[in-house]
Amino acid sequence: MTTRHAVVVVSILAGSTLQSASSQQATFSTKLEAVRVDVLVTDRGDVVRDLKPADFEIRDNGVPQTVDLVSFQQIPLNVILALDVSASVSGDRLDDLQKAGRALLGRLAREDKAALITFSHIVTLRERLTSDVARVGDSLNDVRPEGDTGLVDATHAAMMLEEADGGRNLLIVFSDGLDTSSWLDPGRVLESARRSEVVVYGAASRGAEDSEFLEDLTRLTGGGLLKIQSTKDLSATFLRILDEFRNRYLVSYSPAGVARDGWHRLDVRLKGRRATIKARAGYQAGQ
Amino acid sequence: MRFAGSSRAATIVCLTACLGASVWIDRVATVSAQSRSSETPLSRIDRLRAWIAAVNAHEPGFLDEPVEQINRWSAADLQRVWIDVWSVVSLVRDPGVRLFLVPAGRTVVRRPGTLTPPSAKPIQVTYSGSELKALIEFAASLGGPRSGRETQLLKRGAMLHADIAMLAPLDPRRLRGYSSAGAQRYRLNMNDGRPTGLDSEINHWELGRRLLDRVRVVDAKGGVPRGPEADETVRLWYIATFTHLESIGDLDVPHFDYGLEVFPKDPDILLLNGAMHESMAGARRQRAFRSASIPAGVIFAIGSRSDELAQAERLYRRALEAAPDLVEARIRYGRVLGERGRHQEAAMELQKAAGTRSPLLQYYCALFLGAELEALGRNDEAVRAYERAAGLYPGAQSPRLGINRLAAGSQRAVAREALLSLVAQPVDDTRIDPWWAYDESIGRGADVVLNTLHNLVRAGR
Repeated sequence: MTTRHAVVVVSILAGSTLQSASSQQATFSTKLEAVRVDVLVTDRGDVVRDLKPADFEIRDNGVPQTVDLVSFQQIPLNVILALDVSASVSGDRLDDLQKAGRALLGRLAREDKAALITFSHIVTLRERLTSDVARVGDSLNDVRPEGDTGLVDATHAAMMLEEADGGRNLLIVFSDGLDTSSWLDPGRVLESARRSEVVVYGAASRGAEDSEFLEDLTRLTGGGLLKIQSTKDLSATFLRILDEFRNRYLVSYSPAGVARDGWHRLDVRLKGRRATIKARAGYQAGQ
Repeated sequence: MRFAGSSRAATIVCLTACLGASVWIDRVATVSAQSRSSETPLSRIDRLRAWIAAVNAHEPGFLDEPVEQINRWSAADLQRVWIDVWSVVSLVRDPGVRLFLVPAGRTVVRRPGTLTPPSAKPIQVTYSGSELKALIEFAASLGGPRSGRETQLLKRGAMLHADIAMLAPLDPRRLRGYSSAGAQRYRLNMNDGRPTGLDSEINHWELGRRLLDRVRVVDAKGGVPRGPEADETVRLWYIATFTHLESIGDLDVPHFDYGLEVFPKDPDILLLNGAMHESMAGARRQRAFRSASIPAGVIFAIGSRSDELAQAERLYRRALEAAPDLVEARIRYGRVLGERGRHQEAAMELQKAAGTRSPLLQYYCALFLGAELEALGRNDEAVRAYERAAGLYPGAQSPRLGINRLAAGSQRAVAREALLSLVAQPVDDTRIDPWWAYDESIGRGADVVLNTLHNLVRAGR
């Protein structure tokens, strides 16, 4: 089994299980279906490297699973940027944001892809996922700050950009304001995030650092919320996120002994060793 | 209608200082000496004469010379004029009166929607012999108590002050060294949920209201005259000024509360007040208020989100009791019920309103119904409601987001592509989403209502 064949995106899994599920009691029974989880392992702040499948212990709804595969820095990234360009992001803050975006894009590898969504109260898809990251950088130069902040709406739209192409989906959300105009209910978008395999990182400044939505979303998806004092710190923050994401393991297992549908709580640990683990809280299977 | 596109205006919350009601009058004596010696070198009677001339010369709805002239006056000058107008009106209605008692005003206390009652102790105003003689001459020139000309003057005066508030540029110099409740209003400006500054300005709304308080409707058959609550022009003045303020997001809570006190059962007034409280419950204002630095002595008449929603619900319900066919009130009532977690009731109200012919109201109704049906787990119906909204405004992102979130199975990919194709479109008028301007949409008829008001005032009605 090649790596690509082994990687089955949770959302696809959810669709296929719906069609094949015959009863409420159905459980995963085939090794062809797999769940993959992005996992960051650190020990006192340092990334722990060279871990093997046997080093991981994964419980799916409390049921121990057999880890099939562990990848580290081998899989291309799909980096989705969702950037707040509301009225409060003007002048130097916009310059800082554009510089940070370019710095991040400049660090992507040739096989990586990037996408760009900007938002005020209007969500604007500027580039879908593309390997032409220079074009994404050009799009970033065209933004003009204005309007209110639709953080929840934009985050939902950005999550729709994830691709089931085997790449690892990273969504970086920057906002310097609290949501003032979204239509979607934050709780409902968190529900959507349970079905997604994208890992969300937030870079928040000013009022947005109190955003309960970003806190919950990043915790749920196994990312993190980085709070910045000033947009001057944004380039370093974006690069830190990228580095952290690159240093994550992609752990894959075929679920067994658990129900097909519903919320699957994940518990990821290392066997016989203490470490700090960051991984998504779980995944939603079925409808 | 003002849509919030590229020219989206900064949102404003307007609030006034809550000081003792009687201060409005007490300060007059103190400040009148300052005003005489500095800004306006007019005698008391000349000032009154100038004000009456400006009122009569003003063309309603225009930023003309009378507007600019009176806008240059200080708060103290304007308060003194109001007192003297009060005395003139008293003389018209009772030519023998020589004891001039001016009631203290009402003001807003912290709890939204609650006005203090008129002071039990009116203020006695005294005049010199020559001043009294001049006031009697003014009164005589307005005709007898049944001529109604003093009421016309009051209405024209209220129109002038409303036009100053709506059309004239803010001139903070007029307030220098002076502060009192009623005469001054504070305006918290905000952008994107953040406070961007606090303005203070002369409260021309308050002056207009005080003038209208003295309007009297004479019964042609000789019955007992009635107060401003019986006058259609006064009612329209409040409706027009409410819609104007809501259209620009300037929510002057005391102004709305005052109008509601005068017209407590009017469905339009109730609807507009409900919308004001619904807007106050929104994230933009709640968040800006929480992070604003507020000077000591200034009290914002804004409640918690929950309080504001409760107040909006009560007002919409009363509006619907008075006018069950008021579709906009029903749609807003439905939304507020949903915001308060009463989804079943909300869906029922919204379904009742679905027959409206206005595309804008149809859109809001369908959008809100989609959310309520989703909350009830009726996802297929919710998608259909969202699709109706999307059909009315194909470039609107909100219903597409709703559909996308609910789409399941094979529809998920279709909904995803529809959403992404939409948000990839250039940002122009084709992407208008009325949801963005929901708060301000209640004021979309402001120009029409103001025009009707201007015509009434011009016609002396």
